Amino acid sequence: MPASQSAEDLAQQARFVFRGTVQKLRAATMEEVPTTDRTAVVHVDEIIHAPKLLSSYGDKDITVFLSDSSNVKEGDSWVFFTNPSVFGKSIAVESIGQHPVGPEMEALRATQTDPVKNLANRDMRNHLAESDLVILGQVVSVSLPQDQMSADQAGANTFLQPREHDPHWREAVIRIISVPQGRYAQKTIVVRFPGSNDILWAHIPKLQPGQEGYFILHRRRSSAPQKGKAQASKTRAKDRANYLLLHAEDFQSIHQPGGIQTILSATPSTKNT
Amino acid sequence: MVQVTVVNMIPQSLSGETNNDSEPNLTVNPVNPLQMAASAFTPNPAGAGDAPIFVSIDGGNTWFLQTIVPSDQMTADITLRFSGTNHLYAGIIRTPIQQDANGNLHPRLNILRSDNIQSGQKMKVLVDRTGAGVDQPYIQATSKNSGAGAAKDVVIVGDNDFNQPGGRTATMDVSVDAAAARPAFNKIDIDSRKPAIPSADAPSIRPAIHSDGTIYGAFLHTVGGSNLSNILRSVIVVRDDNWTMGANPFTALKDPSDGFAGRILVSNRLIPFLPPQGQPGPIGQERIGSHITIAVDPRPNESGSVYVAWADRVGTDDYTLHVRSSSDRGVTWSPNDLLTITNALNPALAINSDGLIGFLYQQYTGPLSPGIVTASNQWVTHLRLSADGINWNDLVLAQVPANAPSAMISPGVFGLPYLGDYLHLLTINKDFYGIFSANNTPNQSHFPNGVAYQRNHDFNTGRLLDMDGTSLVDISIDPFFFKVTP
Repeated sequence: MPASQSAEDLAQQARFVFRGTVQKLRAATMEEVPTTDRTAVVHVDEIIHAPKLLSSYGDKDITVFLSDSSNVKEGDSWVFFTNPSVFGKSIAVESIGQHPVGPEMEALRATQTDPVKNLANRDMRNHLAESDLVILGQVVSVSLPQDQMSADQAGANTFLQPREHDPHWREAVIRIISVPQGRYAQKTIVVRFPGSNDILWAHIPKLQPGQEGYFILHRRRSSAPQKGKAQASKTRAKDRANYLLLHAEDFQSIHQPGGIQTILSATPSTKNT
Repeated sequence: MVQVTVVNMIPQSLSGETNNDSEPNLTVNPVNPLQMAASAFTPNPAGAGDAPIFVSIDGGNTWFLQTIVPSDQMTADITLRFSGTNHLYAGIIRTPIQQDANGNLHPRLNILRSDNIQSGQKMKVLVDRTGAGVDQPYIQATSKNSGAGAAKDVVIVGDNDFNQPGGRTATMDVSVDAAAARPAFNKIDIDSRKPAIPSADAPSIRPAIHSDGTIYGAFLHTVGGSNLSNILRSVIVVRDDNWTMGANPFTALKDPSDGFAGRILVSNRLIPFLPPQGQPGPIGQERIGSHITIAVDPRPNESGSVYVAWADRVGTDDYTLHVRSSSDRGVTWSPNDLLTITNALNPALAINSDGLIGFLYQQYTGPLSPGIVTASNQWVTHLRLSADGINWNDLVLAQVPANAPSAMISPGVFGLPYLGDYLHLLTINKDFYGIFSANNTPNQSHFPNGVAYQRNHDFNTGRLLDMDGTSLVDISIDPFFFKVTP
């Protein structure tokens, strides 16, 4: 079995990683999945990381679409790096790689033996890495964005153009306690978040004055250079909020243990007070 | 004797899920009615990857999820339709919503195609549009014989496209050869009237196709109001007589009052767009403000027979469905309602090969106090059938508590929509097929015409069970498939 990608690289791309024993080749646990040379019934011996809904598949047979079936034999044990693709009476997962069982499995577990927390921590580490700025702070105030208020005052009359997926932006002024990731020199920051309850935005945190915790921020793309006094005023209003909350995981209360706190604990922060 | 099948569509392998799987849609392959596809606000259970659709290959008795929709974990809207050549098409609002050059985030329309839904291959993107934003794509598809050549797939997506000028946002995106390698889509503004005030059309834009090339469209045009609680709209029906292939598509129907394209069925109807931001849904935890459906009689030589239903407010707090019909290709309409249903939403019309009319909707029962729901309130899903539009029988498919689960997903945050902004009804020959979302408590008294569950459950205790068969699972909103053979 070629193992061209490292276990860690594969784990970064896979949602369901497990040690399993091949029960039967050219077979499936679901009628809906046509059997081919790539399909195999595999017994899940141990889950290394998994989303919650798949965490109960330990000690069960599932269908695996093998990435390479050339060296796989019935009775073999492998570490399978997979992504689920079919959910029926059973599940079928697409393998992006299989590695022989070995010490690298221990490294994949990291310090966490709970496969759900293991994946959640990996997801959070990736999310933090993709963010532009992480701050520890406290919400001082929440208001409508200035540019929206300006538009309303100018009689833009957008209220009869209701959109189900309108984000209904709000702006929060946050007093910065520290900057665990990234650089930000000011003592406060204005962050824009969607106030909407629509399916597209409902799960993104709705900030309220007094909330204290970690904010994972994403830079808002800047507007193109604009000329003229009115345009300059507009630009200044927009520039107040150059950072956005865009994901459900973008705020964690300081009172909530684990999660961001655990991951950031090893990272030196920049005191801002 | 009417035969009724109702199936909870959540597969057994997802017995532990508690998602709000609302806003369902359904399609049945006319070439092989055992093959079906369905959708809802159902996320990828893996917490990452492409969005799933539900698939059945046994006529809807069992369902599985297949993750083939190119959208991050789930869509923000999705409807889907088989053509007559085994292709599956979908109109979606794709996630994540990405920032444009100015940092604005607007919904992104994708029109998709799968050439084989069981292949597991990701659906192909045919149209990708953002700009000022697009909302609620609602798709219809069929296949037309082009004479000498092979059948061509006609795909029509009604959507609310804010890229259209002057607030005339009602749009049809049409391809008359959607199965081609690189199909062309024509974006057609179907609202001919400039709104009297700065405004836009309501989100729901609905097409209906007849095999003779007649295509209808229905939408809600804004005519007045000063805030979201008092928006006044007109119900407009447009028609095209040749697959939209003429110089001026969707202009076959003119209204005698102003000469513009688009027949005005009723005008100045109060259709509040509620709730206000941050408030709970006004009726049974659900939002209101844009519900309309249209269906054409599919029989040969019957394309002039068309039905429309919409929702508006006739009193103080109600939300009332109205059904009207035309027998002369939309030129004149029944002056009075064929049916009037108080405190109901999610209307869907379809007509079968015998000319039998089906009307699906969800009605809120018990005392109505806007924003407040109690144990005495229910959501009741009805399928009404009528041979003449006058006499209607009534099949209750589900009658479930309206106060559970709570729409509140965190303190003060009421996730919307609750049941969905639409559901769907269709026919294949004599059979009616449909889908709705509802509270998933496994209580047989909630389903007077029977129900089958795939996910683990105990009808005796009325409880959902996790994969281990013993751990309890909270109730949530699930999609339910049904088939009715009159």
